[in-house]
Amino acid sequence: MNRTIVGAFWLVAYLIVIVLPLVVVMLPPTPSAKPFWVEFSLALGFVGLVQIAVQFVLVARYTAVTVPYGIDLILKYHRQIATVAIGLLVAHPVILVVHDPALLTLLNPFAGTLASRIGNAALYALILLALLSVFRKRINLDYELWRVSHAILGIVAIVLSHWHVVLVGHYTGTAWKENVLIAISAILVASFAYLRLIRPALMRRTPYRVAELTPERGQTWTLALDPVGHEGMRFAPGQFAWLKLGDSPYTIEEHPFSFSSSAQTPGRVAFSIKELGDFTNRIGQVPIGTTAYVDGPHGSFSPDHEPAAGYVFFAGGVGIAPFVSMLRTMADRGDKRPITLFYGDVTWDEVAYRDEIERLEARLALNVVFVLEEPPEDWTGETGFIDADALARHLPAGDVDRLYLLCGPIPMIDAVENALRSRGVPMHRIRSERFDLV
Amino acid sequence: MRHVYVNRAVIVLATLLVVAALLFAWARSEGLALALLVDQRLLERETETPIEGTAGDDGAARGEDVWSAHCSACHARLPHVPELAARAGGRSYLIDLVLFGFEGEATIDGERRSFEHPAFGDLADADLAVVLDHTLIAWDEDDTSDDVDRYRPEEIDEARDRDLAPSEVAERRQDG
Repeated sequence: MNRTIVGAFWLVAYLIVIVLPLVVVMLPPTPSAKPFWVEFSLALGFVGLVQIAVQFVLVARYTAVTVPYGIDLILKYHRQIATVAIGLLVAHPVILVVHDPALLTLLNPFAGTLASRIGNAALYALILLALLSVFRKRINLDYELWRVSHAILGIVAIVLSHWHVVLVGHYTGTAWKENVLIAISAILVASFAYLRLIRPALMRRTPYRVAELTPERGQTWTLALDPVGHEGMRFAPGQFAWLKLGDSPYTIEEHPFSFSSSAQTPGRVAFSIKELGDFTNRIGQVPIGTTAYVDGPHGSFSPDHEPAAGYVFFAGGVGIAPFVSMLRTMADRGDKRPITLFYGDVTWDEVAYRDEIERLEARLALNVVFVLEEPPEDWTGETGFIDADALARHLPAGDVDRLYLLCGPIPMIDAVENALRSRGVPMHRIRSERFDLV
Repeated sequence: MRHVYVNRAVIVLATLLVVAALLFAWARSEGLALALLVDQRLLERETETPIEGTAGDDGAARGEDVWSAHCSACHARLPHVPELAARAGGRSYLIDLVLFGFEGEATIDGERRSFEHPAFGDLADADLAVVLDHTLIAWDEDDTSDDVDRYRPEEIDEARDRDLAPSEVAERRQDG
């Protein structure tokens, strides 16, 4: 179906769900009215609560929901809107106390009513969840442990919040309203069970095995997987998948990687993995034949999703992976649309896939511009970082019909985006893959 | 560069949520009361309340004024008051309800739910008496206003000595 229509549909559904509690509360029998600031505070509580519950849908990786927007953007949105929601929920008791300082005792976790203590506990759970997410790296919290704590704290906060609402009772005095509000949250949270329980069960039917592990330049590995007993998956070049290694698809250890193989060859899929952390540093020692599960394809960073007369790719380091897939796919298709690839890295020896890219130049209308931070002495190409001058030297003046795809470290993406904007490239022709998941 | 759209979407959504909450609060504390007031005026016109039949009776006119000023913000109409007054202790329970407020559970239209009512003890005894009379006769379709046992200001004055808490008023309600 048309991605715009699907996107609009989910947006409308989202907008309806997030204000639904206020509508439910307003339905007769309406509770007796309170002063403005009290009503405002409680409305913030309700919209904040349902917004937290919606987060479980956002992160559940429903392809139907995420494809129109791109899952990386959904996850970025998740981080920001969840912060807003927690802010609204914190404002809820604060406004009550500012409106009537006599209520200050309700903020004391050891005093106040049972309702206020449960409400406080829900808030503390959310604040702890947010702090752990922001400071995970600084306090060296294990990624898997963080994910478990993140889910548990989120669910605890929602359960406690509903308990708080029921105890206060004023706005949901009638049983059916309580049930409707709890049902809304339950349905939203249940989507999370889909991600963690039903989806792995489905993945069990489509296992892969590690077929080949090839070292590339720049501490990068190509991990090739063969489907076992099924056809494999169709993906668009530029997409990525969450990879789980080992016999159980229920493992919580999973990592997102871009496909680097051609989308035109069915069956075998390959990923590019750079040694950057605990999991990736060990990738070279994974035994051939290890069982693997692939949750994908995800993402909308693909020329297949954005037809254009030509493309300009910007890769920084291992950010080359999705472009390798794009170039291989376009070569297999005999696609002769003009492509300029800016590929920035530190040293010439570290430039992963450079030999293959040079070979692909012969099969494509491809112009590759390597930009090296630390070039060898006899280097005649671009040096430093990809900047406006480099763009001016290598891009035709009338290139506005092309689509600009960027993948790499955040500072590189920011710098190139600014350079493109100053060249007059409109924002809607620039696509960036920023994969900084927590 | 679409991440810029995410920032914008978050700002728009956050604004929308706060505006929705403001609208809700306004509707509940002001707008809804205004709407109910209009509603009540329409109802009065349509049902030709018996108030008109007692025109010239200062008590009834005053009762209607007090109702408009203090009750109509929340109540459009209260046709079940005569039935409440007829229950055991109902007459004095109604006095306690307006004097001291109510906080607890009540059975309304066959359904048990939590319920609150503000205290109007700072109104004059005479005003409370006439507004209670108003609730007894205003929606009585049989127009038995002449037979109604009207509240006397002295009754209200005596009741003040009970000095109940809203939750105690709730306990005094007879819900069969």
